[in-house]
Amino acid sequence: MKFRILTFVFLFVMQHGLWSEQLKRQIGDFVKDIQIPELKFEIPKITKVQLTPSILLYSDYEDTFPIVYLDIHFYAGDSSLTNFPIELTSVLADSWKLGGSEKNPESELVKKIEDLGGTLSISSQNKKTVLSLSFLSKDEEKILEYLAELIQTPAFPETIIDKSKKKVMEGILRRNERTESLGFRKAREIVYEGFRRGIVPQLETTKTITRNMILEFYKEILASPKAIVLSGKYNKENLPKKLVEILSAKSEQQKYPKEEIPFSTLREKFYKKSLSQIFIQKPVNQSMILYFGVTPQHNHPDFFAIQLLNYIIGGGGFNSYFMQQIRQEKGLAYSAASYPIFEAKHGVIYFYTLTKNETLKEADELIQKILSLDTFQNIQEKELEDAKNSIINQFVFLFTNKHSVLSAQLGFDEDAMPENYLQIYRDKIREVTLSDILRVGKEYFDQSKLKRVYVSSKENLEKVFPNQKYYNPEDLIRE
Amino acid sequence: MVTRCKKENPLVKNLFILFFCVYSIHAESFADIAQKLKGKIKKIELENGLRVILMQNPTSPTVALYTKFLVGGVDETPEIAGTAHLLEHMLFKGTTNIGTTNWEEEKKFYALLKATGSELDQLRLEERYSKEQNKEIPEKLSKRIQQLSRRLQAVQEQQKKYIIKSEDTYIYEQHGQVGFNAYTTHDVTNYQIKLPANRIEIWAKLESDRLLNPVLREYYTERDVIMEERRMRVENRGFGLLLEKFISVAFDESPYSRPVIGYASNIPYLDIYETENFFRTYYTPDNMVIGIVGDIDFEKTEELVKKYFLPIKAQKTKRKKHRVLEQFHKGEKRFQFEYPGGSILMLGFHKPTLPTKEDVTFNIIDSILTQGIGSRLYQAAVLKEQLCSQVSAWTTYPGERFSNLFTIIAYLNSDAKPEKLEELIWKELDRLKNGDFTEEEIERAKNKITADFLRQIDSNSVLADNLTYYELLLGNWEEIFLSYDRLNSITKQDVIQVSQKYFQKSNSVLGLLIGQKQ
Repeated sequence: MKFRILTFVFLFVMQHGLWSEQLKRQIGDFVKDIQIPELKFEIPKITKVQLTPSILLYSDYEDTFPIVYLDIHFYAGDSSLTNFPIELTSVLADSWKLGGSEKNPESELVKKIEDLGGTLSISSQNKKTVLSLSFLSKDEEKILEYLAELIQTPAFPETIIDKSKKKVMEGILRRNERTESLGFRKAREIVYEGFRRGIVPQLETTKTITRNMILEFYKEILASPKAIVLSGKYNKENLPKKLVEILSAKSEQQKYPKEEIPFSTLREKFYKKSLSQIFIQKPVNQSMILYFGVTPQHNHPDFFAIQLLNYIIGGGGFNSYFMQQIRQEKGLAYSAASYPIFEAKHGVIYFYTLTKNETLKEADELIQKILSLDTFQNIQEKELEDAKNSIINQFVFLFTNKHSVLSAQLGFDEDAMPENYLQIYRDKIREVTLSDILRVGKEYFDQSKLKRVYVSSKENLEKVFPNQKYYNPEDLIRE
Repeated sequence: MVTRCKKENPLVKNLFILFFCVYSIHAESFADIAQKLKGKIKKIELENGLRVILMQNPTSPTVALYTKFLVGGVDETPEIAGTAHLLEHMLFKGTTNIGTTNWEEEKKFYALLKATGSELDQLRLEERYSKEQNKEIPEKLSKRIQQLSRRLQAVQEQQKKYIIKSEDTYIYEQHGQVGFNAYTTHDVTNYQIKLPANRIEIWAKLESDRLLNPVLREYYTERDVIMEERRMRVENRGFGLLLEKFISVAFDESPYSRPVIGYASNIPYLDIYETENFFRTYYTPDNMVIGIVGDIDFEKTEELVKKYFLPIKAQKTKRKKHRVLEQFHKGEKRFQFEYPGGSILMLGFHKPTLPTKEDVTFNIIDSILTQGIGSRLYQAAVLKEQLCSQVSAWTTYPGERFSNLFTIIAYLNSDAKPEKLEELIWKELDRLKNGDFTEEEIERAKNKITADFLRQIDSNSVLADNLTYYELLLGNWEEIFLSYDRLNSITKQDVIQVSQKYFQKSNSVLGLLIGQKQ
């Protein structure tokens, strides 16, 4: 009986539905009646002072809470270490922090900072090495003493260097645990093949690192230009002066030239590679699909159009094509997104999703459909306007935290953005047209301009992509 | 990356409680801060029972808006495990006003979809049961399943013609949202967003509508999404698997034994009517708290909240009291399994939850043992013996509504023997039990907690999350001030007593993921 009633209802509703008028309201109608009050907002003014020819200070004093945030950016990183092992930056960062000073060797110095409720972190990457401190305002003097020790008389004891090397090696052993990390690492390996950044850290080369190499790199760090980012409640008279004293003590000339990666060179190398699809086997029941390509540098005229197209394609959350078509429409994935990374000389863009092995092919076909000329040609004026609105209205969130405002400004300066970048940002976004979108779509987003990494189980790869070369996670991808 | 939920929220720290714990040390400066904070906070209670905590923080013209419900994994039975989390996903699917071009027409298909989907789930379960028992599947059953599957697909196609996908997100994006998201834990379900400060009314209209007129459209597609989420967070991640096994072994009676996301076996059968019922039971004004922190005017914000949230009917949550109670000291538990990657050790101890003094003492213990380079376990296990690369502790896992665990987590080095690390951890715990530590270590812990607090409070989101959390769990957010006396009085003797009482083998659970070469 239940079956018959349900069947009747089904047939009735299906017919009735087909005859009904379907479009009665438009997206967003529900809140159209709300009047939005004016938002009073001014772009904060940033104090930028050249303390010495090689030290630039970005600062913003704020006395709400008794805490200080201090970052020192040393412009020496892996890109200037062409004759040294790639793992040197990681070993240096760790052994600098844990090695302490001559007066307070090994972890004694960090412990003293922590005892005061302070934090210390050091990271070293491709272009720079960054030392970050935060501490209670009342401890400023003491903390500066420790900072001076750490910078002027770092200990770098052999015992700690060995431990740091071991830590790096343990990281290498664990680096394939997560499918996403593995996929992105392989993509970087391919994009940057032939550059320092394309070199994959290895156990054997880590073992070759010596204290002398660290000291040589450290000299380069001290000799490098520096930028200081300072916020919170600090002694306005004393702290900048002290920092100059600490940082100027042993300055020499930088010895090693930096390896630059210009957009044109990177793109040329990228397109020359015949290998366009890489298959990585890993025993998982959920596969990763990752498309990636090269984009221009941050201050390139296409930056704004790329931002907008990325928002529409995969960067705009639940309303992006990736989320709508892969997750919302088909239920094929939890995560599906794209994001571009812009640097001073070039950029890279990634498009990815994770889907169960059984739907790898279906999801891949969807991505190919999205990343196609047909998609870019059919983007409507309203979609572009919506993307502009979102990005422009989010602009105010660049300024929620004083320290992050300063750090963002430093980043813009590092990328050689125009001096009035923040002032013109919203207008530049408004100026982007559909033809700009189509142009950058063809140039940077089209699947023909991208390469792919698939991570899945061997059985699944053989089924979906038969007769291919299947790499193991630790195999180096070389043509 | 866009994520709409997080499975666990084990690291919600008792920031406010800890803050007042250090009050005595830096009395002058922190008394001022406490006063400053209190003066910026206002609590209102609507006639329908809804509580709203407002806090002014005009450092930028933005606002963080958090809506939290006292419902999570612990409110489920094993059969419906994952429902709180599924419901959280479903509440982003729109209402009778949002996500549809014509609700009057769409609702016919929606009713049919529910009836068809629910019956299909039941029949598929029957089919699975037959398979498990090696019974032949009746032809009638197979045919009916095929028929209903086709029908479900057809109804979905018809309903789709009326659906506007992610309309709420679209509206928020047009208004400059950041971080529109939600999470479900064992204890609570939380919906959050940050907006420019002049858009609060947009939020109030959308969120009240979400509670007044929800429609669980695209239910069956979203269930598939959750299976993908489970694959991503649990099934293909060693640590995810370890966590799931750890709570299932640690708790015999507590509802904390179940995973918030549900099981691979039951998610595909979570029933739409039961999910709707779950909403009606727990999403009531008396069971929720809203937190609004940022550049706000108290009066105008209160007016908006009343205008939009007062129409939600007052209703007493029909929460059944939990009858089960986890017992302590029931004997040592251990398990291990192999998985590709590095080894991980988890050692947990049953302990009481807030607002007891003992619970607070564990925060001091955590700091002494694992917080920072100078902590005892970092020094001994990471630096000296080089047995692991990282060590940390959770004081509130898996939640705080019921007794929970103090859990030490260590990522073992490839050449380290787990038994040696375990022995070392016990040695450090024994030192605490024997009083082999200094007053300075307690002082150091308090200093660290103080500064950590300050580092957190310039975030509207952190403030909104914590205010709503403690209002829900402790009944009144100002209760945190009362915790001060308990916390301020923690002494070396308290640490010794708590350590002696809880750090015993009979009260412990050890989980070990043995890493396998990849």
